[in-house]
Amino acid sequence: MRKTHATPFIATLLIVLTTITACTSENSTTKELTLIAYDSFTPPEGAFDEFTQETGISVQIAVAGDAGEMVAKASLTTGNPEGDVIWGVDNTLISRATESKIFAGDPVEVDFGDVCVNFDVAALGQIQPPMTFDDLILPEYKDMLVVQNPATSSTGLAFLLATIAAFGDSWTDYWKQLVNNNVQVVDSWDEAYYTSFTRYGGDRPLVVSYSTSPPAEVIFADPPLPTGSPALTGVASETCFRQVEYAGVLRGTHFTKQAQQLVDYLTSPTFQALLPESLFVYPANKDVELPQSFIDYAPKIVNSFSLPSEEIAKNRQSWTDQWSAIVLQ
Amino acid sequence: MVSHSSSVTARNIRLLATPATILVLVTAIIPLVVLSSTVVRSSDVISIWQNSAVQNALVFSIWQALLSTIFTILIGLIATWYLTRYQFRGRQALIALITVSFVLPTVAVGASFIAVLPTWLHHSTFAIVLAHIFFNISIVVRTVGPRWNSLQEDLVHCAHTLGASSLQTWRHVILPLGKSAIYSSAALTFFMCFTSYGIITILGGPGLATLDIEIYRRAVQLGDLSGATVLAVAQMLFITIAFLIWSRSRSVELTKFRVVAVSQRKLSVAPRFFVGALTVLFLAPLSALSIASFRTGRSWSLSGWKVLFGMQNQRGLELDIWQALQTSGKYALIASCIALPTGIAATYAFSKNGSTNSRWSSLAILPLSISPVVVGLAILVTYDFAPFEFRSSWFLIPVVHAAIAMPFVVRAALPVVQGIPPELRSAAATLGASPWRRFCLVEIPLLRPAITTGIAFSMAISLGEFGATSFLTRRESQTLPIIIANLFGKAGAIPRASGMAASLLLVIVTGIIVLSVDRKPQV
Repeated sequence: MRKTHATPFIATLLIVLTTITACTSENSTTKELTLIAYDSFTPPEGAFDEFTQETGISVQIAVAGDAGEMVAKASLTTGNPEGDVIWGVDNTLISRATESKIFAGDPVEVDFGDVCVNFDVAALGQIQPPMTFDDLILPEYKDMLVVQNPATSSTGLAFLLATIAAFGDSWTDYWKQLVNNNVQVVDSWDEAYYTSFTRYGGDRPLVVSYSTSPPAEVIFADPPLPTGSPALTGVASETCFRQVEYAGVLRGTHFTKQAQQLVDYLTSPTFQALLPESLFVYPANKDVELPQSFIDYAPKIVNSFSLPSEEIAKNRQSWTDQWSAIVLQ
Repeated sequence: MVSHSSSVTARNIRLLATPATILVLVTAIIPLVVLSSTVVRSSDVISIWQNSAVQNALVFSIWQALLSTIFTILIGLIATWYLTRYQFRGRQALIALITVSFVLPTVAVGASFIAVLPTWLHHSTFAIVLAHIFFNISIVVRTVGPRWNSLQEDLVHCAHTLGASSLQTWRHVILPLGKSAIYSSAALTFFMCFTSYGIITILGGPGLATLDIEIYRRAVQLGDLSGATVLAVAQMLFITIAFLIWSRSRSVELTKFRVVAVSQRKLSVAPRFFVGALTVLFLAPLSALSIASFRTGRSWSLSGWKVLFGMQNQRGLELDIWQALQTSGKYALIASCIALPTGIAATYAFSKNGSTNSRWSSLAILPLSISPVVVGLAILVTYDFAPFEFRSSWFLIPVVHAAIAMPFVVRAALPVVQGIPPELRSAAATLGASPWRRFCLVEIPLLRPAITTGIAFSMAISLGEFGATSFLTRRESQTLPIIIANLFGKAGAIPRASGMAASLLLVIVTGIIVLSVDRKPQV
């Protein structure tokens, strides 16, 4: 009898292999650059049109995961990158990125923002909103604050770093006092903001979030707020940690000149003006005018804390472990 | 008279496992080997286990998986009993609900559990176990169910006639007949709970981590790729070996499929209560999701849905849901086109004369047992040179989905392939049909339940897949789960409502696909 059981599966195999090889033979010409970014990088439609008009090069956005995952992947593929330009390496990750030599040349700053304690105006009522770290340990703010675990949330990490920058070595004492004031800890920003925050049905009127969350609340309010309405949420302006994001040409790209043109475009006023209302960050380019929603509702943060990137990378693990020992008992 | 039932030799049959083997090699084994040789420092192989966070994660993984498995099996067995042996209104609907719940995306279900449970239960082992029961009860029902379904009523009556009480009948007749199905569903449930990521992240308290979560932390946040890879490889070996040992090799186990008329017995009060509670478990989270999609802040509103479908302009949110549905759909179709023939061929490879050596087919579980983060990184580092430079190719995503879905295709196909009477093949051969004709005209129609279930599960798993997909680079539009995750990451009432709406959309689409394709579940 003929042994033809092999035929069907060989056919399947061939089809699969052919399709795979067919699809991998997409080649990129100098007419297209790949910009690597994180999942939530969603510039509006047509953000790169002016660049394409000027240079004739189209920009393809390749996203993968959040900022941490993106840098992990870039570090692993250093010298043989998946794209030409990378966007969104923040200051907690930049030292790991430069150590792995992922950049050709120096990265440039493209945007910044702050992680601060947000408060719900309505929920606080008559109580004066807190402004500084010292306020947060006062008895009148007991049972009010929710923070994120720095081991699992970049927002939580930023808040922890802010306290370390503010208090130096005695940051552990500060956290013990926060624990005494019954601070709540959750694992993600999402949970803190949408489950614990009073604005969304929780019981905590103080939450660690971004300085751009108040304008976001206004922009995304439903039904839309009439112009001139008072802000729904505010920010404790002395509790902020500065987050800066960088972009740069990736080492190993075949189109260095064009990639540099793209990086220049990313810092140009045209592109930077799109940042506030799509990514909810402040543009690094000081010549750009902020949109009205930001002018009206985004707080002006004058003093925000920061730490050198190398120090963060070196001590991150031990700081997080110490924090867990104090707070997660 | 020829004694063997098929005309192919053992060597040829084993060849049928080649596509499956290639899939597992390409998506899991080769990348893992390359990654290990690239990043692992030999000192880490031992020293990583001395880290207290790792030890805690390992202990917690085992503990919560054990607890979840025990309760899932307990409740699952009771549910299976009532569902298979009794008739009541809504029986089919409940089975459908249970089936769909297995493939629902964790992102959506986690959100709905948070919405349903009272705050004091939010971070608790209880919530985790409950969510695991929600997801995995379908494993028990769909594995043990068919076995108990073909349980001959006479055996039970015989036992009663001989004087056995209900409990004795259970112990000596019913349970033993379902024993291998119970063991295999316990093994799979333990495995799914052990590698649970999304549920633990959302419902576990801060500081609670499974091994998968710890692997992610090491790889992404701490930059310790060496340690993460060691842990991932160890986890893979542990699970695969445990699975191999646990799945008993079945020498003669014929589950001939006969359509057994469901008993006309009605439920008495206590079972009714149980079934009611089970229905609530399944309906409550989904209802909470629906409600949340219509609420913005404190008021009722359609804006979430309108913005999602582009019917209402929202500054700052540009969603292309149709594109996302198209992309998700494309990936799902390709994934099932790969997973189905591969899985069924693999099932045939290990079936002979109506029995199955299920041990080897359990190896199909391998890609699932590796942390998606490590899979993503491994693929990145492996396929980066011509002509194998497909690490950024969009095609990789459905291929990985197929590797993840394949073990479920194999599980669905196993009992069906086993149940095809070998005599039919011989009869067709006697009548002059070639093996290929025989396959097309005789076996494929008999395989139809496996094919439909396999397609349904592959598509559903691909639609809801988040872990590996989010890690592989994508150059085109988002898939639906990615859009959901992005929406949940934005502050504001509208993104929240849209995120809930998108989650519900994903649940509905998944449900429609599973229910329309898998129309006659063998329960």
